Amino acid sequence: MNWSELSELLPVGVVLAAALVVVFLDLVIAHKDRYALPMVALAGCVLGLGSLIQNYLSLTTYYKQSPPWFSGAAETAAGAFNPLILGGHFSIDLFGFAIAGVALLAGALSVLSSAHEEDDSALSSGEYYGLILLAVAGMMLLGFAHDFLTLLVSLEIMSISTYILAGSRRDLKSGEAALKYLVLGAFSTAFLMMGIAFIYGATGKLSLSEVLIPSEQLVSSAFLIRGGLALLLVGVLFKVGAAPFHFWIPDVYEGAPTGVTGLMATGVKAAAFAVLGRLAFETFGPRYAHDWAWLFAAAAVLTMAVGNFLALRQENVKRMLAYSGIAHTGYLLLGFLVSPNADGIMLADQLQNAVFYLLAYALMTLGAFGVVGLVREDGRRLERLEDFAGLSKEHPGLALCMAMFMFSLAGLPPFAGFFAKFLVFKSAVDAGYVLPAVLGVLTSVASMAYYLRVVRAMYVDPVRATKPGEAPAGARCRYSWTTNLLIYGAGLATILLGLFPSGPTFLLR
Amino acid sequence: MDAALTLAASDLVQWLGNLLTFRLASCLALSGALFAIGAWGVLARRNILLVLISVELMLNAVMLAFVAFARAHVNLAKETGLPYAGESGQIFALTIIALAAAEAAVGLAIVIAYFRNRQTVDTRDISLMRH
Repeated sequence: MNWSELSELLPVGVVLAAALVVVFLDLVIAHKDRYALPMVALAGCVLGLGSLIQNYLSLTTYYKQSPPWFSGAAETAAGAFNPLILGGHFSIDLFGFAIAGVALLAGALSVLSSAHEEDDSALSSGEYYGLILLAVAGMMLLGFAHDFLTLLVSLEIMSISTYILAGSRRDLKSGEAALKYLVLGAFSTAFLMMGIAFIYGATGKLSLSEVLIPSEQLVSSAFLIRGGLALLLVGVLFKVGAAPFHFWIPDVYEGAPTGVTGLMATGVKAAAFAVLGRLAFETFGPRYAHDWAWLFAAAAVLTMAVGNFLALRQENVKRMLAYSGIAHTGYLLLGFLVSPNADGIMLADQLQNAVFYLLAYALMTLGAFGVVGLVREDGRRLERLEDFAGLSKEHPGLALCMAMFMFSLAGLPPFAGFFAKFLVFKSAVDAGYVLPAVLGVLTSVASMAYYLRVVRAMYVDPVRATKPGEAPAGARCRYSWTTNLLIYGAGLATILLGLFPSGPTFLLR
Repeated sequence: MDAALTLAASDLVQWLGNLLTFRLASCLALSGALFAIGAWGVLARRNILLVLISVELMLNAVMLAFVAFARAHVNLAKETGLPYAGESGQIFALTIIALAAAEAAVGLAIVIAYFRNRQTVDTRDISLMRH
């Protein structure tokens, strides 16, 4: 093992260091500006992103080629790029870079969306921002993890930080969300661990890309391997929030503070999909696609149907976005269906499409949750549909951005969501799963109904008085420059990513 | 008489030896039973503390499975000369101890915070957000 390879994980180290700095800074400064801690946390995320890009550039210059999309696609010739570092525990490939980038983006934007909180002391403390950074570090590690041991430890770093974050507001709903998230998260982790135990028992290996390669190890019983993989999949589907293991999502997303909900809906989901992607592309691969891909396809169809159907009935926008998150998990699962006769190039294309979806989804969802997290002048949060009435008159820019996020989530051109959906449906069709893709398009059309309800509430619905006998008051919000930065930045990125969908891939070349 | 005694003693030793011999199947059966009891506890218990204890039970079952598999891999390596794969299972079990401790610490803290707010630890009362 070559310890100098640790420098490939420097971005994670930067984020961890920032987490410690934030926590200690909270203790040291006596009279602090309320933007001091969020700015340090934001600087941690930005520095982490810079370090990530620097790593990518130096690897590309050194090997005179960009890293492979996943370690299985790497050439094996001497002197070629070997993404596996630290004895194969981590894989420094493009998929890992992309997941780490999405995690850092999600962390930075959720810090921005929490920075305007001043009435709630728990959300302006150093621990809150420190835990966000710790969770981001866990997600980044999860993106690179290539071994069941590092995978599990990264997953727990992320999950345990998020359990605490979900309960960080001192009210009943937040506590309930934390409790539910903790119990169900730990329950699913136990299944995941038991699955890993079975696989280890059957093969003696822990490396993600090696466990299914046949060898004359111990009880080479197919039952043990299959049982282990099934338990593992239950755990992973739980973490990404796919049906039938989605039931915890609405309550947890609704109860958690909105900044944390944004982080869970995007960063945690991206990291969980990193695990799923590595399982689908490296562990199973085309070789075992016959055995497993239909299971992913069934889960995708069920998840899209359940998420979209239940979202139709929600009056609470935050809860509606939670169900819409379930639906998007379904679309994303379509991007991970592997064709039995796929080659390395096709797999890399599929991964690229899925990563584009994760990026676009992170931008529009964090923007939408940024709007939902705002507080009206009368103290109500912008959570229920009727709270949005009159927003277009009071804050035209804000309403315009929210409308864009809704159109983008619904998958209308020219926004990022359209290309994201188009790309994953295309990769499902290319892999030969036409029926799930068609069902995806149909449910996507149906989803327009509930996204457009928000737009109607903002632009069409009459403003009602909060109390009888009072003059009707529109939705005037308290918000600060950090929230402005988040919402307008995410809005701009949603349009730009929709107009130039090849932008991110262009940067990679 | 003396010979009979020796025979009985050696029988006893052999019986004990058989009893103590490592059997993968029995370890896995115990582990599976613990895991099932834990899962049942999570789903059926009404007291949130008992739910957390059940989760811990499931994690302990996983640890037992790992240690048993590690031992089996050691034996296999001795018999067949295949590459030794015993250490990773034991390291995994140790890691799970640390993870379980962290999870229990956070879990109890969340339960205490919740109890201060609601004065209840009954899972039937944890339903503010059902619509």
